[in-house]
Parts: sequence; C-alpha cells; structure tokens
Amino acid sequence: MPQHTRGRLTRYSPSRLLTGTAAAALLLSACSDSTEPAGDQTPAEGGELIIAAVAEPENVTEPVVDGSLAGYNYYYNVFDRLTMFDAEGQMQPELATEWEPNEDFTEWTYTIRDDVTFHDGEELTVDDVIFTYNEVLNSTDSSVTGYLNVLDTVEAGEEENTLIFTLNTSFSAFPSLTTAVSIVPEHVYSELGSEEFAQQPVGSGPFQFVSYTRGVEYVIERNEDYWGGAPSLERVTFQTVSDQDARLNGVISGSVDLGQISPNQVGAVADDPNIVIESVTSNGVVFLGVNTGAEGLDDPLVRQAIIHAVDRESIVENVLTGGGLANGQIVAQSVGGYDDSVQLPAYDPELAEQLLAEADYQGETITLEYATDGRIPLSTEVAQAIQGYLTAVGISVEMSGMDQSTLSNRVSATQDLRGLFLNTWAPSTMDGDMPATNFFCGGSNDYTHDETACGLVEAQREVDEQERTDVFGELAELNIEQGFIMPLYSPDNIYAANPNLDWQPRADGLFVLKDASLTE
Amino acid sequence: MARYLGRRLLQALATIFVVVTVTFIIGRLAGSPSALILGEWATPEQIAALDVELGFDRPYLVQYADYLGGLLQGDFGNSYRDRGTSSMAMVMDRLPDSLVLGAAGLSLGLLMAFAAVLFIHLTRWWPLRSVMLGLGSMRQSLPDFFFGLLLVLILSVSLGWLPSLGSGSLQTLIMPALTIATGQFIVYARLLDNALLEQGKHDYVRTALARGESPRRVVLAETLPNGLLPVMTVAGINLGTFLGGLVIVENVFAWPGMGQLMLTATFSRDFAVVQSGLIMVAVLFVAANLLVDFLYGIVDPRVRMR
Repeated sequence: MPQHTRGRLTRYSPSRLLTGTAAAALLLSACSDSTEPAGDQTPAEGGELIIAAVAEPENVTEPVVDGSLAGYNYYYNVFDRLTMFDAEGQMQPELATEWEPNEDFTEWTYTIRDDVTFHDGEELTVDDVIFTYNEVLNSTDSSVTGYLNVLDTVEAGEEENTLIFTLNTSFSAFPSLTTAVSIVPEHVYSELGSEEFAQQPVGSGPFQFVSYTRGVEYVIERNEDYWGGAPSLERVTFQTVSDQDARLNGVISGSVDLGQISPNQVGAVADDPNIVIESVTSNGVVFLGVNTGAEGLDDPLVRQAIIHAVDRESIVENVLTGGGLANGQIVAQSVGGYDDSVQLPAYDPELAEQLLAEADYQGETITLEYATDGRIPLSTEVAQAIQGYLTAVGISVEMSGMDQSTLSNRVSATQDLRGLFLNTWAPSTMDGDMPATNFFCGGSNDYTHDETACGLVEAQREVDEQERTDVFGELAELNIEQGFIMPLYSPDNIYAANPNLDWQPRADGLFVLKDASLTE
Repeated sequence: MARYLGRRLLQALATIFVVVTVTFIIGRLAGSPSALILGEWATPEQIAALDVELGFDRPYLVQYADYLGGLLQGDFGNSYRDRGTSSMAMVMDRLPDSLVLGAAGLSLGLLMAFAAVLFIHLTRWWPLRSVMLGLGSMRQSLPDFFFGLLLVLILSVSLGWLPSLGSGSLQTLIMPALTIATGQFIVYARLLDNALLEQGKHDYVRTALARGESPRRVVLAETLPNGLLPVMTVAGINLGTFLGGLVIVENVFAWPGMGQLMLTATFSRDFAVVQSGLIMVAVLFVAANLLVDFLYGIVDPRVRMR
C-alpha cells in the first residue's frame, strides 16, 4: 500500500489555481478521521472482504421471492439449500445427505441433516424445508417459482428427516433444481412475511446477515456455529458497483478486493502487481436467437448458411481476446447436457454462399437485434463481428441496438423480434433442461415449435447419465441442422482480485465464500 | 409578496404536473416490468398474474387517474421491485447523499471560481487569467466520467491516496466533489470574469476611480455586486445540467445517490421510483430558482418581487 504523502501533492500541481484545488482537497482529507482507504480498515483475524458486485436484486431481497443472480450472491452465503454445486459444477450434498428417485424419476426422496440450526438458534427441520418449497410454489411474484415448474407437491416422508417431492413429469436431473431454493425458517418467515423478512433475513448458512442498504451494500458476517465449520472470513461486504471501470480501479487501488471485469479490460492490467486476474469458463452460452417466421429466416437453408458463415473461434480470439470458448451447443461445457462428441459447426463461408444460392436468397434484409449494454460483455462488438461475417457471404444485415431491458422485454414477449437477436442463457442450476425447454418447448426463445426437438427435450428427462447426454447430443445436432438457435460461444467469467485473497471463481459467476480466506 | 409566492407555487405545481404526466406516458410506452422482475424462467401465466397484481392490466387512463389520485393524497406508489417500500421513501433515502455531493461540488466550484477570478482582478495579473481560462476550457472539454476516471487513476491507482469508490467518509467525497467542482468552476469563473470586465467599462467605475477610490475597493464594492446578477441568473438555469451531471459522477464513483437509484430504476422499469425521483428533481429545480429570485432581490434592490 503506497503511503499517504501529503506534501507531494502541491509539487505536482501545474499552477496556483490547482494548488488551491489541492489545498481544498487536503483540507477535506485532513478533516477525515482515517487516512487509509476504506478497504483496509480493522485488519481483524480472518479479515474483511469487500466485493464489488455488478448489480443488486431487482426484487424484494429474500430468497423465496427473488431468484436473480445478484440475489444468489447473498443467499448462497446466508442460507443453505438441499443440494449445491461446487465451483467446478459438480453436485454436492448440502442440507440433504442423500436423495433417491423412484424408477421413472417422478418421485424423489431426500434425507436431510439433523444437526443444522438457523442463525437464531432454532433447529432446521423437514417442516422448514416443506414450508419454503410451498411458499415458492404458491407465490405469484417469485422469480424462483420458474425453477419449480416440474414440481407438484412436497411432503414429509415416513422416516424421520425425510421428505418426498412429487413431480408432474419424469425428471432425472431434479437435484439440480433443489440447488435453486434457499431454505428459510418457517417460524420467522411466516411471522414477518416476505418484505419484512428481507429487512432481517435469518438463514442457516456459513454467514449471517448484518445489514442491507439498497444501492450501497449488503453486509454479512461469519457464523461461528456453522454446521459445516465456521468460514475463515470475518465479514463480507457486497458493494454495488455497476460501472466496470470503477470495479477494476477499485481492486487496483485496494478500495475493494474482488470484482468482475470485462475481457477488454484485462490487457491493460495483466502485469499489475497489485492485482491478479482470474477466469473460468462460465455456465452461459451466447447465441443468436432466430425468429424462424421472419422473412428470409423462414428458409432452413438460409439459417444453415448463417451458421456456417460465422467464425466462432475467431470471435472468441479477436473480439473477446481469448476470453471464452467457441460453442455449438445450447449449453456450456460445464453444464449438464453438454455432449463432447458433437462437433462445432464448421466455419465455411463458401458453403454458406452455396447454401444461399440454393435457397434463392434475394438479399432480403435480416435484422440483428442486440443490447448495447448489460449481460453480454462487448455485445456491440460481437454483433458487429457477426454483421461482418454475414455481409461477407452476401446477407444484408440491419443492426438494431437497444438497452438490455428493452431487449429482455422483447425476448420474453416472443413473437415480437424481427429476425436474429443476440442473447445469452446461463442456467444457475448447471443443467441443460431449462434452456432446452425454453428454446424448443414453447419458451420465450422458441419461435419454431418443432415437435421432434421438443420430443427430445422431454425424452432427456426420463433417462440418466450417459443416456441423457446422448439425447442432448441428438438435440444439439438437430438444432444445428435446422438452425433454430445458433450458439456462438461460452464466455469466461473474469475477475480482478486482491492477490492476498484465496478463493475459487465459479462457472455460475457467483461468489460462494465459505472456503475463501485473506492472508496478510 | 404573497401574490408573488402564490404565482410561483402555481407555476411549480404546473411544472411538476407536466413532469409527472410525461414520465407516466413514456414509462407506460416502455411496457410492463413484470417480465424483468420475474426473470427468464417465468411462464407467460406468471407474468400476466404479476401484471394484474401491479395493476398493469388496467386501461392506461385508469392507471393514470389512479396514480394522480394517489399523488393528491401523498401516496407516490410503492416500488415495483421492493414492493413493500414507498417509492418516495426510496428517493428520500438517497436524497441526502446526492445533496451532500451536489452541495460539496457546487460550493467548492463556486469558491474556486470566486477565489481565482477575484485574485486575478484584484492583482491585475492578467497572464494568470489566460492560464485559468485555458485550464478551465481543457477541463470542460473532458466529459465528467472521463475526468473522474483520470482522478481515480492518479489519486487512487497510482498514488493510493484515496479510495476509488464508495461513500460514508470525507475521503470518498473528495474525488466526486472535485469532479463536479472543476466542471462547475469554469462555468462560473468565465461568467464572473466577463461580468467584472463588463462592469469595469461603465462610467460609474471611472467616476469612482476619479473620486480616488482604490482599484481594489472599486472591484469589491462596486463591480462585484453588479457582476453577481448575471452569475446568479445562470446559476438557476445551470442547475438542470448540474443535476444531470450528478448522475454520471455518482455512477463513476459508486456514490449511492438519487442519480444511481433513478438509473437502475429506469433500467428495470421501476416507473414508480423514476416518477418519484423526477418529482423530487423538479421540486429541487423549482426551489433553487425561487431561491435565486429571492437572492436577486437582496443583491439588487431595484428588482421588486411582484
């Protein structure tokens, strides 16, 4: 940490005028009680971690109602779930010790731990789990409910500490969904209700809630009595910093310890000794959605041409400066349902031109809609690269940029989009079922309503392991052949971090801090 | 005086009514926030159900009448995101931070401008005037977000003197306040400089000098009070741009003010909060202009409030 040398400021001042400014600044700083940057206060045992979070939940900030990524950052640390993914995307037990399906995967029996207490000292029981799931199921405004569309009922099992989930369909990957529901204490939640619970949440996780100031910070502290062993970090603050340059500068200057950054920010700071850059391939896929009813795009040959006209590897290499992996499947490499044996669609502009000639494409304008800000880093540059590739094979492309919310709203209305649209999908459940359902069985990105594709989506629910991956592989090949959804790449999650921080970046982009530690 | 106040109050209410109506219309054109709140997993049925809960299924005119009715009773509507919280309460929560930053930036800017210009005019050291105006123009040609980042790069990243972002201590206030202050500085420095030069050409100055008053006294007692009038007029008008600039600066330094709140509210279509925020901005704007009018009367007794 550079020392605070006050005298030098005046020497650097180019004029008397600036001396005045600097003097005013010094006056202000002299009034302040501490001269160290905020990140270094109280170097207590275990340490305080300050994370620059990209966003805040767009909803009441408690886990029954809010299923946003921003919210999961808090809930993954304050609450427990039945099952949980580790940083590599492997399923791990959490509150559940084991889970067992019936023969056709329509009924799942979970056994839960009997040594868990909430932060208020009350025991966590099967009833709390059942209560939480029912609250989510019965909510009209919860963004978690969408995860549980397959769930019919949940009830206590005959044996102690067991509960039974009854589904309305077969679903072999059901344990991936129980990672999405954070368990709340019935005795607190039913008394306070959602909005008040959000002000003073009580969980059972490795950290407990301290305070939340919307727009500023969410603060949690170590739960000494955590059943899985108390975490090393004393305190964690999620500070909302929406600007990516502010996040990077914050880490470099030591004001924060950790923040997500964009691929184009890496080059300038790669050699900076004050930070380390860490990255991991994310669980998301950036793809071109297709309104297969739009003029030009209603011809499968034109869609085929587009698939082969785009050089995915070059986009990753040149636009993202290597920050990702080219991908031809609807799920990322770390997500359940990815099939290694499926080939990346070839980049072959000649084939594309040939296909266009065959299709009798007459230069109809195809619109490419994309968000100029928001969820896809460098989205404008990526969209321009795609425009370049398509123009090169003779497709006329009209670009239409908009803000992320507008695009999201247009996507969720489904029949509204004009042609191609740049979109992304990252399943926090680390499983391909949700994106597949959304893309091929009547979800918001599904313009095709193709029965074969939807049939495959349903088929994968009934089989397990390699058999299931094979069905996903078949779906991936059908998708490429038909050009329903055009996957492009899986972006990296890239972070700038304090070199003293020991932690592991996760594919889902979330911060799970029970095993993180700070060294001096 | 009472008539004057009453008239200004009516004007203020009309302004706010226009603001409310325009933002209401623009907000509704942007569509319902339900899909954004529920996320991409949501089924169309869930979205429709939340639309009903939030009242978005009703005809626009009914929604508008309902909203205006609420306003008349002091009910600004709850945030769509934090559904148990009044949107105006959220705005009031953030207002102090914005006021602190705005006041610190503006007063520092004014202080710098007055100090620099008076120093130049009292010492008549004209080369310094060119330096000041030159540097000021350079600062003005940089957008606030860029100047803010420059400050961060120098004071936080290279020198490690100040935290690069955040709030809650005087140290965190310095860079955002400096960004605003330096931006405001040149506006007022140029105005005051011009006004003093302009006033200096008047006959009363020659008379005063001929009477044997010192040039210093002429500036302080004669030209400065007269020069204040145009500065104040522009200050009132400038406030709008100033409030706009505040949003950018808050974003660069993660300063948790009203600007940040309104920005995220806009992105997530939380219209109740956007509307309440704009009402607050309109109130501030009107109040500041009213204040300028009063000060005008004090500085220049010829101006009577009618």
